[in-house]
Amino acid sequence: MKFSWQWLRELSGTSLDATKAAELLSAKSFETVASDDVLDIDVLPNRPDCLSHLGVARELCALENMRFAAPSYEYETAAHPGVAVTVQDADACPRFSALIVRGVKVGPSPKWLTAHLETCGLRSINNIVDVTNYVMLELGQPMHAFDLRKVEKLVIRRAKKGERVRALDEARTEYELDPSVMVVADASRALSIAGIKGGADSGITDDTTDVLLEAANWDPGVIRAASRKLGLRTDASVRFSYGVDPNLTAPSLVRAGELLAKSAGGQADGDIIDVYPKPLAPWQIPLDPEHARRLLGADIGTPQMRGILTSLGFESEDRGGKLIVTVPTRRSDARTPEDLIEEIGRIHGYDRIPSAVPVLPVYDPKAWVHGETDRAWDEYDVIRERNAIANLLVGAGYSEVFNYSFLSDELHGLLDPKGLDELAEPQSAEYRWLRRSLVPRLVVNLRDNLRFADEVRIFESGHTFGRIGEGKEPLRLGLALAKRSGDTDAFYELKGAVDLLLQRLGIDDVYYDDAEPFPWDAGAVNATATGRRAVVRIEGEQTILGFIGAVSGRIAEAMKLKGSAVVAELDLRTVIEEAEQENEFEPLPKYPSVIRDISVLVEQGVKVDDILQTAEDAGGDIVTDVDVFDIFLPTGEEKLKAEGDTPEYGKSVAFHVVFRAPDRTLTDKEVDVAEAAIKTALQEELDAQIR
Amino acid sequence: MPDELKKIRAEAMKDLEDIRDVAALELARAQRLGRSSELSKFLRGLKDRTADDRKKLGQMANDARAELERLYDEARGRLADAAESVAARLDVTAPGLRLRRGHLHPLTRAQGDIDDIFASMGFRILDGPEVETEFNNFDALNTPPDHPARNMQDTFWLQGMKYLMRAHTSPMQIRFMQAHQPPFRIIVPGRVYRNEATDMTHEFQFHQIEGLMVDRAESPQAPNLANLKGVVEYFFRRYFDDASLDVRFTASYFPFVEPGVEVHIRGTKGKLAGRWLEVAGAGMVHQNVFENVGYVRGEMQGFAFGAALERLVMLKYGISDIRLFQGGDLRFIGQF
Repeated sequence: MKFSWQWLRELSGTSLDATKAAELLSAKSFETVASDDVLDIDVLPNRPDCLSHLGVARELCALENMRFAAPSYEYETAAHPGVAVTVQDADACPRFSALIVRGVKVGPSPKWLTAHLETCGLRSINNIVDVTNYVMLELGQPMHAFDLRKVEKLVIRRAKKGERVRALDEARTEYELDPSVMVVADASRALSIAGIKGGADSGITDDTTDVLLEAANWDPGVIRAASRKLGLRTDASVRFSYGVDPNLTAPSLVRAGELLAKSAGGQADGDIIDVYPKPLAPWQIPLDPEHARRLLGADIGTPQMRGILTSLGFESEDRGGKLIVTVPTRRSDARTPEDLIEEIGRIHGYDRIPSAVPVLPVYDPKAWVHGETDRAWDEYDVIRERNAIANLLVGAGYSEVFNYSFLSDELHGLLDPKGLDELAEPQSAEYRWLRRSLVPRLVVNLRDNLRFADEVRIFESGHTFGRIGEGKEPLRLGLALAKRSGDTDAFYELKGAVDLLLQRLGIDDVYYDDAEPFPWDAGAVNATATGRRAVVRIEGEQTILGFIGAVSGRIAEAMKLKGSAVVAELDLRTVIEEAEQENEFEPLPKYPSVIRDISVLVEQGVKVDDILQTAEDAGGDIVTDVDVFDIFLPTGEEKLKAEGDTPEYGKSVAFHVVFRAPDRTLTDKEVDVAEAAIKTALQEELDAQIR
Repeated sequence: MPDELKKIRAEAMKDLEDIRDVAALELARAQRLGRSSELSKFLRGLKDRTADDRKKLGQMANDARAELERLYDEARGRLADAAESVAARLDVTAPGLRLRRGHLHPLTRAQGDIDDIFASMGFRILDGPEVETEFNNFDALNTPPDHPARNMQDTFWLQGMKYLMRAHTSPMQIRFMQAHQPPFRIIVPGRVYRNEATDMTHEFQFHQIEGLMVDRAESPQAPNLANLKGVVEYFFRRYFDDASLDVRFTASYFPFVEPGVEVHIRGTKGKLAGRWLEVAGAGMVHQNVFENVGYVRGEMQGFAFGAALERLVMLKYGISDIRLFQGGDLRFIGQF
């Protein structure tokens, strides 16, 4: 808000220059920028008293430890008001005051007055309206001037639904009101939008001679709601939204009457008309100076504290070392001892509060918990593990991305059309749906980055949103890989990355299960192709760690992704829990192992896992590992040759079998027997040809 | 040493000097030390001498042979090295084999640094939910019922208006305090959401680091405003690696603290040198907040602070556009 520096100087008597004053205000009160004759002050929302030159001048005096000479305006209230005023909603309008001024001559304002208005960014209208604005800038009380001819009686009430008012602006904009808006009305119609804007039909015109000045007090919540509802922000609505001191109405009318007499020749007719059913009185707050010192961590003497309070217009009384502080009604923000301590701290100067690294005791974590809780959060162990996984993937060639947590209408429609939660008012159709899987946005990342690279390897970890409000938000890790070349091994490369990180965490007994339907989020599953995807399970358990799949041609085409792409997603908490369970030391082997290689031809549909499982089962206890080293799908001539022998055999698999016993060195004969058993089982159970 | 031996040794040493490759060296070795060499002949001739001579001269001859063998071995090593350095010379300026490497997102990297600093001060580090209730995000944090931040223009509400995307990490203050009794100190890094227009310095989705340290008010260690200054000063000095960095508080207002301050820093080097920058909001936890989580008014004392992670990272690395952090552009991430 703009303030006239010259005006502030006159009111405060400061000897500072504008730049110095701005520095002082910035450090201790509000962010302030000085330029030319103007201070632009960002008054904090809890300090409505400083939305006026008088308020800022008082603040400045307090900061400079100078006495502030507050003007005082004496008044009487009218026993027989010249205009009848009825307030129908005293909660919305705690006080309504008015003053009749007769015999004004409408014309231009004196120069000193318009100069102040213009410095503050207000346009001069005429000598009547200008006075109301001047008083608002000076004291902080928004006012309105009615032409007395248009006002026989006043009713302060809620607007009726559909009621209309033409505003006193250049365009004479018509506003349609409803009961959330207060109006000042006469017997039949609304004259002005209360606390926000005057009406065109009751305002001052060139031939106005008698004026009714309104200075009312409005509930901040009512004005905020009405201002938002109408999309109308005015100097008055801003001040009322902050909250104006109700005891300011009458003094402002006196001040305005004085100024009108000077600049428009009018005379007040009678005393102040005042409807103020519950006058607001100053309140008291007990303050223990020791409390202030302990909270601030600064050694400020009690007399100094009292000096600071006095400079702000707070009276204090010492009762046995404790203070009783009386707060002026303009300081609606000061309600608790801590509010007063803030005043003491900032006026004393935060720069004079020492920097003291605290003594940090070690806490016993068990002593902390005092209640049952849903524990919707994760502790550092999960965060640390998540970082370790990120570092591992970076080492493996994957880069970390961060995505918006929301899916677009397009992604939602394409991948996950059911059950996602939705923002009530999204910024755009691009960010509306709460993600339940990281995969959709990762596919977008693949596409976008393929414009600049032939291969893209990325991952992301973050919260996803299913079952809102129930327990923890799933913490997911998504991985994605794309190659412009259409490399058919892309699936196995990404699977290798998943294996690497599961192994790093000590999770070995993982099984990739392609049995449909998949118990995983639609956003990931729907991006992939049937027969080219699997869930990642712990062998022999129900636990599901995640999902991996090749992006389907249909989705790639719809998303304009050129090349082959694979995505995977893991539930990080499940993975971390499994890792914690599995990390156990195994003794080093005492006896040597024997390795035999076996190579088989099988039907294309036979799974590698079936071959390995069969070998492991048939070989008996001495088989310690079975490890594939080559998979070969014959093509071209080789395929013809293979098909010539046995048309259905489309796949060649070669693997090592590692034999070892924990208690002895194996003999060749023992291994021969086991190897033969394996081969027989492969032939009988899988119809394999041993090569 | 008899002249004969001296001569054999001297001749061998002499032609060793002229040898330029390994083949010539081996030839010379066979000539000088082989079965038909002068030295072998000399040794064979000893059988006709006295036992005393045999022992003495034999010893001398064998010493000479050992010495020559050693010299030939040394020369062979030198010659082999020289030959290799010519034949298999490496261009050490040619590029190394390209290993694939990924990149950690700068926000993760910065968060890790920050976690380390606070962990070293014994802060517990927590990650809370991003979808919150109005109570945790506003009411319990002493936000007035008709505060403008609550409306849809500022906060992302979910359809149904029961839940919202948290506007700050402060709701975790509420969750944590509801479940714990002081003393404690925590930080809460995490993602937050504001329904505001995006530009170079504004994002509708960004990250904050929340800090909270509370003890019983009567405790000699009850955290005060001076301690808040000490903790944030220590943090910023370490994060920006600038032991002379200054911290200053200016007056500010947040509903959940009283007094409330804005934290400014001024560095002494690099991008932060010589200017005051606003980096965080902070203050002493409002007694209404303590009351809202079930503590007795006046019994607890503590401070809270909150900073935007993006801002700290932008200052540290000189990033000018906050929007680069989201959306996964590897041309950006690849720089870290």
